[in-house]
Amino acid sequence: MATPKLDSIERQLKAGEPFSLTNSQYKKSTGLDIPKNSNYLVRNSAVAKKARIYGYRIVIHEREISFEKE
Amino acid sequence: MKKRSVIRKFAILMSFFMILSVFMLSSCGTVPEYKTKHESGTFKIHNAADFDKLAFKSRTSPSEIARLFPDFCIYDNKDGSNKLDWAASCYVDFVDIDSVYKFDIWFNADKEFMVWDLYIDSVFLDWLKLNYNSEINYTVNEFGTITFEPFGNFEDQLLGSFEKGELCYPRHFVA
Repeated sequence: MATPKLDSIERQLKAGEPFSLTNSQYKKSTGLDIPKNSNYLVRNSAVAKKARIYGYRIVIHEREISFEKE
Repeated sequence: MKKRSVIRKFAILMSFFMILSVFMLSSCGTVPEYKTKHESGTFKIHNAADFDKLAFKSRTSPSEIARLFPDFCIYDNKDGSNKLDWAASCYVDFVDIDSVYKFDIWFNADKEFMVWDLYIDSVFLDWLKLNYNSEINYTVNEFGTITFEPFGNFEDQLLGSFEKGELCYPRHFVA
C-alpha cells in the first residue's frame, strides 16, 4: 500500500508563498500521480487537506485551446 | 353497476401509481441518480475477495457500482465551483472486525468512476495488513483515508497551483 509523500510540498507550504506544480513535478515530489478528478483534487484529496492546514487552496489550470478569427 | 366497477378499477390503478411514485421518490430504484446529497446502503465485506470488488475500473458506470450497495445513488456534486461532477456517499461494513466505515465515491461529469475514499482507523489497517495481499495500488494517507484511483492516461491534463486564501467549499465536504 503506497503513501503519498507530502513532505516536499509541505516545506513549500510552510514558506508561505504561492507556488505551482506540474503533473510531473507533483509525481516526483509525492511519488504518486496528481488526482485526476478536479473537484476531488481541490476538496478532498490528501494534498488539499494538507494545503488547507497552511491556509492555501488549490487552483487548477486546465490546458485548453481556443480558435479565434484573425 | 358497470360504472361503479370502472371507478373501482380506476381507483385501484391510481393507488398503484401512487405507491410506485412514493417508492421512486424514497429511493433511486434502478436509476442511480439523485440531485441532492444522499447516503446509500452498506456493502458487507467478509474477506479480501470482497474488498477486491471495490477496485473499480476507471470509468465504471454508477449502475455497475450500484450492484454492491443497496439504494445506491449519485448526487450532483457541483457546489462552490463551476465544475460539475457526481459523488456517492456509502458505507462499507468489515464483518470480521465489526466496523463500518464511510465510503465516498467520485465520478466525473460524464458519470464515470474516478476515485474513492474510505475513512478508516488503526483497527482497519491491522485487518488489512493481516488479510489483504494485492498488487492493487491503494494509498493510505496521514488523514486516515484510504484512496483508490485506477490508472488512466490523464498525463499533463492538469496543472495545479497553490494559492493563499480561504477554501471556498462548504465544510460538509471535508472528512
